[in-house]
Amino acid sequence: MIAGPLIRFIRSQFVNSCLAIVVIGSGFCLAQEPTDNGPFADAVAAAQKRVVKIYGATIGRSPGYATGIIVSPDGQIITASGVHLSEGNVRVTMPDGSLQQAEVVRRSPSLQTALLKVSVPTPDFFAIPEQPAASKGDWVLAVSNAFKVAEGAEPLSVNIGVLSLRVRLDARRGYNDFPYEDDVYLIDAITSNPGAAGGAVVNAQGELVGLVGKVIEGKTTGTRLNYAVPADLLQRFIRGDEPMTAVAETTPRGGKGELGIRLFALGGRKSPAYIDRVLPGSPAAEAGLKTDDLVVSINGEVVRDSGDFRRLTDTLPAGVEITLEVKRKNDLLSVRIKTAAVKTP
Amino acid sequence: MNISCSLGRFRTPVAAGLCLALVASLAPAADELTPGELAAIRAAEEARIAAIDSVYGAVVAIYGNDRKGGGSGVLYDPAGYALTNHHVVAAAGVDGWAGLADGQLYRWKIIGTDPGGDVAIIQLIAKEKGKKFPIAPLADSERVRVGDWAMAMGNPFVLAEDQRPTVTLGIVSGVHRYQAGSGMNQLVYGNCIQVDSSINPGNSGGPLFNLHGEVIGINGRGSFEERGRVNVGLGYAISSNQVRNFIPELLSTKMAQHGTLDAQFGNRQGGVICQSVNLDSPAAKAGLELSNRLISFEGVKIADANQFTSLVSIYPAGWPVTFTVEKEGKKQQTITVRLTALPYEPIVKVEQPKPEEKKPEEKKPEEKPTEKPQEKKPEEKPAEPTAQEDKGEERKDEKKEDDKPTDKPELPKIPLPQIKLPGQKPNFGQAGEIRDQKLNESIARELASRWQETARDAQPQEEMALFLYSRMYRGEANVGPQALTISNDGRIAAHYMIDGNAVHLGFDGTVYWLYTPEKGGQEITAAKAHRDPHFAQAVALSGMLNKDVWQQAGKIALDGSDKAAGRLAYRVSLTDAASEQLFLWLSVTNEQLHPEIKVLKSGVGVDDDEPIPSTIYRQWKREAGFDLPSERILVKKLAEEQMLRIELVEVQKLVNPAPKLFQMRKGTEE
Repeated sequence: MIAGPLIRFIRSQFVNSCLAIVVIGSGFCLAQEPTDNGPFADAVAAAQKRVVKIYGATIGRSPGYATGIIVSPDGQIITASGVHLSEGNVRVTMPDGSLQQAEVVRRSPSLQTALLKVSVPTPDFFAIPEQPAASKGDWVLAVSNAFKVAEGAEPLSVNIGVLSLRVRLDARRGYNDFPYEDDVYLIDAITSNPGAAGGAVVNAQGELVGLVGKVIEGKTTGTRLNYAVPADLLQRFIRGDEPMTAVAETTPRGGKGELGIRLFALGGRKSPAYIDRVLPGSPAAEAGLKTDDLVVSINGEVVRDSGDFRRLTDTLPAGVEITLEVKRKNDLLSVRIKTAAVKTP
Repeated sequence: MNISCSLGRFRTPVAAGLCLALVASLAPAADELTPGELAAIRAAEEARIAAIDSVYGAVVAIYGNDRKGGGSGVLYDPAGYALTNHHVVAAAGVDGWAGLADGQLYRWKIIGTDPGGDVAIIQLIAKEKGKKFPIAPLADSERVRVGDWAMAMGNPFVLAEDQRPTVTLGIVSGVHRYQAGSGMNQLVYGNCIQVDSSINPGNSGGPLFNLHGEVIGINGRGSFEERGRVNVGLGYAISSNQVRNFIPELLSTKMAQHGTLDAQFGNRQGGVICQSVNLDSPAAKAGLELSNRLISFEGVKIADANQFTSLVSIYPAGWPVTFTVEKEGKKQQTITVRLTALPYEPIVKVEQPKPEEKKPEEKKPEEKPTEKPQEKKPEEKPAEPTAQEDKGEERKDEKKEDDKPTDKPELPKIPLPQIKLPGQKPNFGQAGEIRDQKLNESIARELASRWQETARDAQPQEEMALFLYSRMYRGEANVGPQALTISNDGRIAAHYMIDGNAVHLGFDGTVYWLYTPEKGGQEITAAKAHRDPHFAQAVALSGMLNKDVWQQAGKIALDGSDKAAGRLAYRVSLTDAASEQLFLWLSVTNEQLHPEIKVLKSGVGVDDDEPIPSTIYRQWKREAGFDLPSERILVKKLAEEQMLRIELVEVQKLVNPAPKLFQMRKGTEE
């Protein structure tokens, strides 16, 4: 299943244009074909006709502009949600350069996306493919207005990368700040730039793979994640049948007892037990634990990774006191925490 | 199992083969690659590696004299001329060290620089005489498409201890981008190429290649606003077409300036409308008025004011442009003018000093009006960019050492390392002016002699001359014959008859003469002879016969970039004893943009409304061992309106030509 798209891609974009020449003996097929500088120009041109520039309010450090993709013939546009949509004055520069006023139809808290509508027909739009348009290892192109480089009818910027994997993202750093809870495609194109959010991620044929997500930046390292919201999740959002509240399944929840600790988790893999956030008012918060503390032991038992943490905390009843050792920068801190009862929603 | 391999990331054909074999073994049978497909992929990989190999040696690591910091560059000419950024030489100085992939360090010196477009030419000094440096060819950047592969090469983070360049691969993210400059009209990236190939500090001045190993741009900056000075996926390269336009200007040792119409346009009422115009500008004098709508500029339809701003920024000052405007009542007017220069420093209008005591010679009131406009000129002279401005740009783009500037205590607060500026501001000369006359002349002679070398089989050993017989046409009508005799020692005779009127001119080795049946013979000045386009043709062509090209000229200079016959040209001036000039326009490339120097045009004037006709040379063919133009076109004015077509009919080679061929006829008989 992984090899299929890659080989299809090679066949359709690469081999056909070169094969005849190679067979007759020239090693330099690249130097003789009109499409010799890469097979992406057509895909880019097709995507450019379906991507829009979005301008709105600026608050604080937020860029106040973003990108969006047209997903229906009657003016539906998906973009990343953000403060630029908050003031109600959302302007959209269409691919032909014309400026339109847009209304926000709906937002998805779990995908951090918004559905907009402009009142002009949009004959060129992205049809959401039935099957994923790209798999691990495929080329993807990100088409966006990073840094507001393009204005008016000028074409948007295009970055190339490889789709790395599909993975569940639960990096709720700064809780209210980034509550994305669902699958993402990790890509190695640099997309985490101001204004790029809401851009199209397409395959080498120009088919929609996903939507460039909002910038997620690590608080201490400043590293950023380059990712896209998968097209099938966008489809669910457009139809309006996504679950109202997403449930965090990979977050340890503490059985009967609750510490109020959420670990940094990536794709269900066992990663070092770094604390991603501490629930306000929870026992962990009262004990002074902080984001980016590394849990090294519980009741004297070594915690090597998030799996150990889960094993040691899942069965804790409410009202017991445990000793938790964390590493914070170069210090080893020991705290006593009494578990609270789990609140059922 | 990790099979997330992808074509572009293979390092070698071997790796490609391994990875694909793995894929093939896992895939359903219908999706297996055939041996032919595999071979095609390997061939494509080989082609890319071959392309890199072919230009690897042309990429330059540029350092200052202290061998610290630095940027990149690319050799484009075997004589050691290399392109880089202005901001690289602004930091490095007027000379320094340059590393090539052969591991050797060479001395380099500045030739010319363009602060406006962030381009400079330096020359690497060969260790042995006559060494030909490896070069990379310049492509036509207008053919670059978004999505094309783009390879950046250079010396990011100055990490190449062995001087071998780093290659980073990405795609073209955008074309015709405009990135505003800093300071006054400086470091503007107009009509530039945006890439996602990694561009990092130290890549500045290095080449951006297509997959053929042709230079499509010179990397110079990136979008670094938010995250420190590292690649964030947006880099910008000055287009190779802009760079090419400035090559003659930079080789003339000038501090180049960019051109302007001296008019502002804005988007209004669905059109690009003239909002302001300097009434003294050539464009206004030629008819451009407020509220005129710009239809096209240099053959490009204008749909947006920004598009025009971007387009005009790739041309040097003095460049002839043709544009069409729509006036009231849908009337269109096409205007051809030379662009005026954008200054690098504000033009301060200093009040004329009012002398209290009147000097006796100022009593003549009529002299004043002629004096005033002349006196304004020197104030326009912009100086080189200041160190402060350089520093501002370096913070954006250039590799920096962690030196703390001594003069500005507030700067260390910026959490970015600062570049070390040379102790003295590098002297790049005055804006728009030739910095080094001697160097300029030697480069002009070098270019002219390259034409001479390629235009003849061998240098004539004996005394000889060429006799060129032609017919002249106005439209389809034959209006008369023309005969030119040119010798390899500089003697010339030109005879022609237009509509029955015969004219004879010549240079017998000592004097210039003119003979007409009505007025008889007379000695004339060289300048007057050159003003006859037929005689000028003979002078231009005689250059290829001479031992030293155009040896009879008192002085040869490279004026800079110009357009002739619709193409980029080196404008060379031959100056005689009386300071009268004959201009020769030499091509920079052929139609396919490969370097090729041929005479494109000759004439005595460069003004917008020059009344004396110039000659365009075309359809060069080898005859009697020499390249000769089958067709010459007499044109007038900057717009090159066609007047006469001169068709070469016959060529004869004369050995030991009789002296009387070049001497003035005695008496008045025809």
